[in-house]
Amino acid sequence: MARPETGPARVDPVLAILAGLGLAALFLLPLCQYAANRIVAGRDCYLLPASRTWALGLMLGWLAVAAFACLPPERRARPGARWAWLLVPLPLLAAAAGAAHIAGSLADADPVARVTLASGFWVTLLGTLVAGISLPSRPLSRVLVWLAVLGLGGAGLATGRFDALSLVREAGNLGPAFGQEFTQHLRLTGAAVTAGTLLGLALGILAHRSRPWRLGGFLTLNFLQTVPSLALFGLLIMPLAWLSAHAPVLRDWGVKGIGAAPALIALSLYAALPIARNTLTALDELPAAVLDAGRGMGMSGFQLGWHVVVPLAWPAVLAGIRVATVQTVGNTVVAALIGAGGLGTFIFQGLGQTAMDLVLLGTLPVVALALAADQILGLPARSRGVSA
Amino acid sequence: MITFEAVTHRYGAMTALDTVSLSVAEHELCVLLGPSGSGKSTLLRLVNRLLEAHSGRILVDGHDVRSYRAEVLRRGIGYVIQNVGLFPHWKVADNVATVPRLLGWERSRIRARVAEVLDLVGLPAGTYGGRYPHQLSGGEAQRVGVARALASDPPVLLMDEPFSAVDPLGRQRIQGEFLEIQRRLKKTVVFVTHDVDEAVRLGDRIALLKDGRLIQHDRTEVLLERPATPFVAEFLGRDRALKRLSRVPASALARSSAPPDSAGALPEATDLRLALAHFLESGTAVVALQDGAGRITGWLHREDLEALARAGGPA
Repeated sequence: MARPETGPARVDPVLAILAGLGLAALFLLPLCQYAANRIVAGRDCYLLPASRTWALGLMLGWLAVAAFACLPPERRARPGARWAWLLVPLPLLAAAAGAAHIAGSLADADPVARVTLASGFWVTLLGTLVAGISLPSRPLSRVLVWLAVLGLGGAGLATGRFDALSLVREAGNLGPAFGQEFTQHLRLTGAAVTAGTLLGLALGILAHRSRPWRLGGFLTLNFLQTVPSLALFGLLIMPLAWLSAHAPVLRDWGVKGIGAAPALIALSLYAALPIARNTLTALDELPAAVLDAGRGMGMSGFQLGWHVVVPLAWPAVLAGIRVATVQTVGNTVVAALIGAGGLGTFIFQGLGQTAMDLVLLGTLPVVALALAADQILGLPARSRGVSA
Repeated sequence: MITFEAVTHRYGAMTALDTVSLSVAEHELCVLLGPSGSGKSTLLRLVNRLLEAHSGRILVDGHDVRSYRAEVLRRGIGYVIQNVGLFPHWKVADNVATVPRLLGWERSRIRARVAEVLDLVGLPAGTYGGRYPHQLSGGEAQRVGVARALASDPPVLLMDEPFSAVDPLGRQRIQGEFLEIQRRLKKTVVFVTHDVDEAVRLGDRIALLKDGRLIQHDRTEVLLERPATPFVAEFLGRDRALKRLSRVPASALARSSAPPDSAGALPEATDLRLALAHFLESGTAVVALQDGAGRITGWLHREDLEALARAGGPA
């Protein structure tokens, strides 16, 4: 069924503005900053004089996006328009290649000199992401294009093209620690979302069935949500330390006042709320007539659940899991403060040393993980949206 | 076929049904009629054990309903409800196939049966089978609901205000279609409604309930002719005579001898209420009755019609 539409705009305003901003950034904002060492103030480097080739590539990329934005609306709506998605990564790739070129020419000779990415690059990255979100596409092809971009980036890293960038140098300094904390971040997030999903589903179902649970359970979770995560980590230290001291079994499992145990508990509680709430709403809103009909035709409790309740409630529950996952990826950063590890470690180290590259090394993967989780968990909902 | 023996049901302190005894003969369409809160839906839901009686027994085909497992009992009884309750994530064909699947029929048999019952309710499977419920009009959805209840060919149908959510014009049409289906299939039907016209049109018998008690249970004509209490008379309405006429086809009063003069002709299947309207409009005393081919099969006299209307007498 066609959704009611208010008539498409003649020019796609979002894409047009993004292309304009991207082109302006090319001329007005520095792509990198060069500093002789980590301490002195940097000097701005612009892409245009440094590398005409990549500047041209970036310009053509945005011009192509602008041209697409100016196509007549009916042509933009055609199925073939999905190919326009291939345009989106072009400015980003050109900017990255340009930055690598500048860094290579300035810093290769001098191991102390640093070339950091500057506002021009970040504006291009942001513009690319927003353009990607606002373009029509099949959800799967969207994921594939981003994977291809990541693959190109990875290939660039592997072949050493980006080695001169301070971000990459910083990563090189970290050595295997980066991979370890990245894995730890994934592990914490995964475990917290899994536990939060089980808890949220259970609470949602209980709340649907009994009024006391509805009031008590949600009051507790809502209250917890208002407690800042750092405070909650802190609050858990005392009781867990006590438990660890008095229950050797728990100590053997690694339960302590600080570290992964309090982080997991707090993160799971935060993750549980959106899932519980969506589960409850989904169950409450199941049409009574449908359940009555199912039961009246002789479905057993299990059959009714499996064939009717689960398929009808699942999309809303999955939406809750999606929100919880994106939220947990971010919340896990704070867990580093109580020694649970994860990418937050670099962020707080970097903040302590005013080493912005280190902060970025923690932040960028978190952003990428959150976006990836959002896109991947959104796949089922969006493919339904296309077919229905 | 269905017997209620002194059935009582309570919701907490409120008695919804108070020692109701009633039986519904095989092939009969029994309407449970009454104002809201009279217990008619409760009575219906006791049959397939969506509710359990607190005392008394309910027999279906001679067996106490409690002697079956509830699911097994329900799979053998067709069930149609007011808001249809089609599964929104299943296509029409899958909805109709619900009970046959629960019964474990073979695929080919299910497919054939689904096509058959969809045809029966006037929704060809080729066109409608692949649609989702949200792509159907209210009347179509209700027809699918009926088809779904008939899919496994159960001898008993329970219908809980099935047509009340359909607009008035559509309701009359779907009632007519359902009567046709019922004439062919001869199910034992328990039909809940609060709409007197619907009850009079469809019911072989009407059981009138009020505040959980059975007030009167009779053949529809008898109920209209001789309401047992003032409440029954009031509930059925002041135009009982007309309602009674609406159940009798003109052919039932036809005389075979031709009168000296007559004006106009009516199809012999016309009911007497419409025939009366014809007399009032035309001012004539006699009208010819024709069969489908246009042949005159008899003559309806206004005086016969009026005599019949008077036979019920004032309440």
